[in-house]
Amino acid sequence: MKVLSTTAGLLLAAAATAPAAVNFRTQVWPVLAKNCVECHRAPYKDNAGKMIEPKGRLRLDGAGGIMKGGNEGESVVAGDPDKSPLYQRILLPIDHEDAMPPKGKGKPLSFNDSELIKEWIIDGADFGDWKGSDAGAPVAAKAAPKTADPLAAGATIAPEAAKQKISSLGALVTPIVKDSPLLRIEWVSGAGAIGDKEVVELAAVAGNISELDLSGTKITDEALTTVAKFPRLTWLKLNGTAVTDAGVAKLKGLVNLNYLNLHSTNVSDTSLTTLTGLRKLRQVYLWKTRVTPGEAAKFAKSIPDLRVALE
Amino acid sequence: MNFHKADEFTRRELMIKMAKSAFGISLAPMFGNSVASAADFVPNRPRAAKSVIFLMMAGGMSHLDTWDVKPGNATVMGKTKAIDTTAAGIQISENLPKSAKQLQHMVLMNGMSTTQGAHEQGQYLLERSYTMRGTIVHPAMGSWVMRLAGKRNNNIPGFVSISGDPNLVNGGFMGAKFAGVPIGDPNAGLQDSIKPGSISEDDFTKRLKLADALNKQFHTVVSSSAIRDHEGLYSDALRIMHSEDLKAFDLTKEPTEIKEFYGPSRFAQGCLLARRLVEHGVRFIQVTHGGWDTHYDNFTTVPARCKDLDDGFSALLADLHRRGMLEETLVVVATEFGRTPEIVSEHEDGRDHYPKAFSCVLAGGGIKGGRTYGKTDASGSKVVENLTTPQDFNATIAHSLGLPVEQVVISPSGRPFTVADKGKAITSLFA
Amino acid sequence: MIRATFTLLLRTACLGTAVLCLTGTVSAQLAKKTTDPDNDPVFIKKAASEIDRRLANDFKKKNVTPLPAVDDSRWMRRLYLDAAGRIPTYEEAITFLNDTAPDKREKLVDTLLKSEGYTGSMYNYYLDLLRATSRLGSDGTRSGVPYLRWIRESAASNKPYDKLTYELLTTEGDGWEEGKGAVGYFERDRGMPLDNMANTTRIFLGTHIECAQCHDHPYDKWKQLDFYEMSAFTHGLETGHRDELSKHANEKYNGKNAEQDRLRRDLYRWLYDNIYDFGVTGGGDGIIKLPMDFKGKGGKPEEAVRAKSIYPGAGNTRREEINDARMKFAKWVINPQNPRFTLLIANRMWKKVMGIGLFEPVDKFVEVSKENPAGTVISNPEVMTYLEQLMKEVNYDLRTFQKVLFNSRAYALGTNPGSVDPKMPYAFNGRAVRRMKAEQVWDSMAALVVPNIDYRKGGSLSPAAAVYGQVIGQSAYAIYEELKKGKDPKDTANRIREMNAWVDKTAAQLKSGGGKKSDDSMMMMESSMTAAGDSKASAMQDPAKWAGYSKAFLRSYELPSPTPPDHFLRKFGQSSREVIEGGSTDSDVTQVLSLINGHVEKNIIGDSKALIYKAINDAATPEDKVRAAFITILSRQPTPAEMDLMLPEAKKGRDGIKNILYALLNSNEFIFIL
Repeated sequence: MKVLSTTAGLLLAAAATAPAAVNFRTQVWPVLAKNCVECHRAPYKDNAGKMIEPKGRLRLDGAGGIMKGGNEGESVVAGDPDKSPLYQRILLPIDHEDAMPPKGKGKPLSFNDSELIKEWIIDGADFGDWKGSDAGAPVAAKAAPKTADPLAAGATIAPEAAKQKISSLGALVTPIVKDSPLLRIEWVSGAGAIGDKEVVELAAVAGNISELDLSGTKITDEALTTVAKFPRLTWLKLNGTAVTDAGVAKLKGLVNLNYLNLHSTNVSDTSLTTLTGLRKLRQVYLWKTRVTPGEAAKFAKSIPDLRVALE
Repeated sequence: MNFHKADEFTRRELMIKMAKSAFGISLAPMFGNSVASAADFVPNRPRAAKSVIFLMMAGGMSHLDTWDVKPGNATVMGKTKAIDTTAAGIQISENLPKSAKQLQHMVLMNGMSTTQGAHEQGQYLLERSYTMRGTIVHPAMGSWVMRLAGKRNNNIPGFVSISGDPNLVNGGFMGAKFAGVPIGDPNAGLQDSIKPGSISEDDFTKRLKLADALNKQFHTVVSSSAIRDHEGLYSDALRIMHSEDLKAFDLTKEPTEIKEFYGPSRFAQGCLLARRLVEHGVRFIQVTHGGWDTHYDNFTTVPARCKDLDDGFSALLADLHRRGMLEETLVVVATEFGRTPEIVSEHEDGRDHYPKAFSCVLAGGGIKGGRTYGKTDASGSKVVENLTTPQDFNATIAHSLGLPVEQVVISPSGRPFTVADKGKAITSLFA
Repeated sequence: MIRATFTLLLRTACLGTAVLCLTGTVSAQLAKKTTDPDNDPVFIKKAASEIDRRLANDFKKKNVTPLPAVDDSRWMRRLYLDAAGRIPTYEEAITFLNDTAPDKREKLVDTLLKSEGYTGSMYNYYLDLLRATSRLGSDGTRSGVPYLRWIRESAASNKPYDKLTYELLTTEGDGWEEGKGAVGYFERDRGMPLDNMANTTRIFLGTHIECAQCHDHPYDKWKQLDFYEMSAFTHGLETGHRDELSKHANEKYNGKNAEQDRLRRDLYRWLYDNIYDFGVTGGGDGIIKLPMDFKGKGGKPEEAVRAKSIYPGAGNTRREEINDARMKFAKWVINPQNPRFTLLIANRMWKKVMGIGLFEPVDKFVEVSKENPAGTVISNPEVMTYLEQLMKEVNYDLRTFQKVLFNSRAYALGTNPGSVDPKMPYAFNGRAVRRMKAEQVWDSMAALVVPNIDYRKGGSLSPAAAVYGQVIGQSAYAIYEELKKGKDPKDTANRIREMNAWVDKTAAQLKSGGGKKSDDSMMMMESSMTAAGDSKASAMQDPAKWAGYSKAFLRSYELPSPTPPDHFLRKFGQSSREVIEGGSTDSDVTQVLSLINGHVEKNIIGDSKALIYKAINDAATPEDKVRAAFITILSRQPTPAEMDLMLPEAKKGRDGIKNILYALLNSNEFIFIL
């Protein structure tokens, strides 16, 4: 009880003594709009068709731009008007080279207006729900140059329900890259509980699976019957499982495979006969298998740009 | 993807939370959800690295005595000789013979340059991409990775620091939940990760419930972000304890021949532990090897430090390669600055700090190896080609992971930051 | 804005008189105080009231209300932690809480400030500040024990801070001689004299000048030339100490037994590294050559420049002062007219007591300048000014200074219920909650197990140190004395045999220097040497009262600096002593794992002999047992709700009690200080 009233009392006390917080939208924005935004806004083409950049690369027409700052660094440090050029520079005498607005470009701000900006900064530079020009926000991640992934052509987005079902088996299911319908499926944790039965569930998204990690699971050659039906499979890890040459033989239809990891399995030179038909293979890992160095070397030469690692 | 105000508390939010707890809203975080998030992260480039092993050479690793040899220049080379490597036309120091045989996997970044010539500031900049200030602590690289990419395995920590100073890997303004988990001796693993036999299951649960109740009352008295962080760690701890993946930290599970493959030193065993952790989905592992501050007796100390580095680093690359893990694991060898080409004879042939030019190494993670990037002049004094700052270096690490290098995170004090400040990723290094 | 101007005016006023103030000898400055503020309650009270008065004015100006004062329980717990570095024991708590004397708080402050715990806390404080370590050198082969001993003695004798600073900066000679351990200040940075100067500037003068070592400071007014002119004051110091013994280290022995000779040579080498090679000579040239790649304004590469302080007042060195430059520099550093020296230490002590500095960070004070139009903000300039005055009035006696602060009403204010960002100016209208420092956690827990923990000395023996102790039978000092007097052990057959036996057993461990075992023996040896030096006793044995308690339970100030990376203290954020004040109170998951599965269960609750059980066993009823548990661990009585919560466990007997203790130790209230 006692504690409750103390805390509540504090809240009341704080509310009573603090002046009402400055509202950015109704109070500060009009000031900026009138005095600053003309020069500090989104790039635009002038009448001659020339692109005009915001002065000092500082945009004040959006919350993002205001907080990001420009060429000369930050314009606002929340809570600290002394460290905020937005406030400091409007205080400078008209003849000062750093004064804002610059001499000739506009009248110096009134005392009231500059006080508003100061109080707003002291209060924490809170925009409330105002965003302003959304494009003023810091540049989002530049998307990687979109090289159309031929493999993705024709693939539809995998249904959520199907992905959920696979996740519930403990798998991590993610697109292989941003905006791709192709999926990567792996068990970072709990691989030991996964066997042939679980792999069958993956068939629901057969057309989407590009990367599959079954290392350390309890699968047998049986599972590879299912895996063989993933046409877009490029990356496959089977290391540390009970697969044999017979299982590898089932993979002869995986023409898109370019990475295959078989280390610590019981496969032998026999498997190489299957694999040599997969012309897109570029990396094959055969450490701790029964593959012999001689055959491995021959295999490596049989496909251009193929690297085989025996150790 | 613009602003990120997800977890930070403004003063206003704090007041609201305070009010809530004052009214006795139940808080049982010890059994609740972990505060650390597992973002559904999708990389922005194909076949991005999934993990980083960051080998930190603390103290300022001499570049001339390791990766950036100048065989024709005896004055700056002193006692160090150059040897051939598996990369045509590239030589490195005789102090790293095993690594010389793994050059095909590496890019030697011989154009590194920093503005910070003091240890604290240099390590800070390398670790955090911003210069040290008195006003804010920026998050460590691993913390950024945690924040932008989340964990791959929710059951164990996603950011681990082996044998390093725990202070170097704290989360800065991102808070304790993004900090690196420190492991001292790799052979000791994650200490205290199992409930002691002296406590029954019932009692263990009972005890934590009692503590929870006490904390609920305590929240009505005071509630700070430090307290909440501390409490949130209890659910993290419980999760780790009950996870099968704890064995990731247990080096006794490795065959003796593998342990011997890496070498007996603490650093080399740390590299082995790092590999295990990557296999269990840990995103960022930093392994520190100190003692590089060779103001004195450079030509005795550097070879000694190199021995452990050579053992661990070369074994790590070979082991990752044969397991088919190298493409998705970025291995970094970094240091805060280099050492003077001038040899100080009064200090028993020592070398002093030299930030202007130094060397780091990148391997795996999609890097096309067997070459150098960046070049110094004939005496190793000045970078003459492709100067790389620590920020550029970190941007490149971020790029390897497929992270959004330009994504802004706002600190609790309202300032915007990015993972590598103004660094530019060197995309030409990648396949 | 007004604040900053006021501060600037004050500084200028000081500087104006600075030049005149450098007359007068150092001894005059360090002369015994004529009054005795430490034992003058009226003085203490007046000073404390003045602080409170100025704060109250500030509250009015800032429109904040001071939070209601805390009760005895909370005040007592705060004081014990801040003054003595640990929570009170059950006995101590009960005694204080039941005391009805009106001046019991003043008395407790007095008592604690005279305790070993306080000395130890100040020792820890200095270790952090000076980055002092048990072992020196990048490979840790040299002993730093004399430095630690000197720091400990300085703390124990309450050496005034100006005297301490002066000794750090000017001591010359052989570090192992009585009173000369302060050479460790330069030995700590052997080979890095420029870094050393940057540290000095930071610790004592509040300026971060290290960036200017390589170039003109990017955002502050310091130029590279400034840095080198400062460094000129201590340039030319020689560390290390040449002695007779050095020739033995490299001597070729022509004895019949090559192996024996080698071992003896190793012994001499070890003695040389650990005992003889520790000292400082030279007064400081006062002149330095700019480096080859100097690129700052105002100087040319390889140009010789004279020493000059970055603050007006110390002036350039004159020709006749060459080789005496560091004395001159030191005199100026500690001069009361130096605008920084007093400011910094006053703020540091304020932070030590109140938890947050009047300006932060405490080692950086930036004046208003073109590059920094804002300058450092002092949250309460009137209090700051008074504290500077007070520090001078008490002649830099840090204990008396802290006594004033502990006696203030400000110290007793209630806890702020929310987060306080130490990087923003703070009104001090309440106490900011803080997590315990690593040392406080460890020491508080140690006090739950071992009685009279404050006085238990480090000195548990590893096999190596046992042999060392037994065979040699003396402290390191004694050996040193013996060899120094010219007694050549080669002539003492017994001595040789004994020493070889010892070397036989330990030479390999000492030389390897890398394995765990070696670390242990090094650590134990350091402890034994520290203790030996203190007591000059021969064998190191635990007095009876501590028999049976784990030897790991020593207070933090009896352990090596720093402790090994896996130690509880490091886990909880103890500084590695690599950087100035590098400790941290951040929490991480390995700490929590230790609290739930490690240290607490195994070493505290699992130890049936632990002191924590005494009060509980003495308590007659289950209710009393619950009370005893709360008082021991949280320093207060349980609330009725808490009693209801815990009573069923208390009634269960031993197992239930353990549950209660564990829950209390894992509660936020234990580790966060209100």
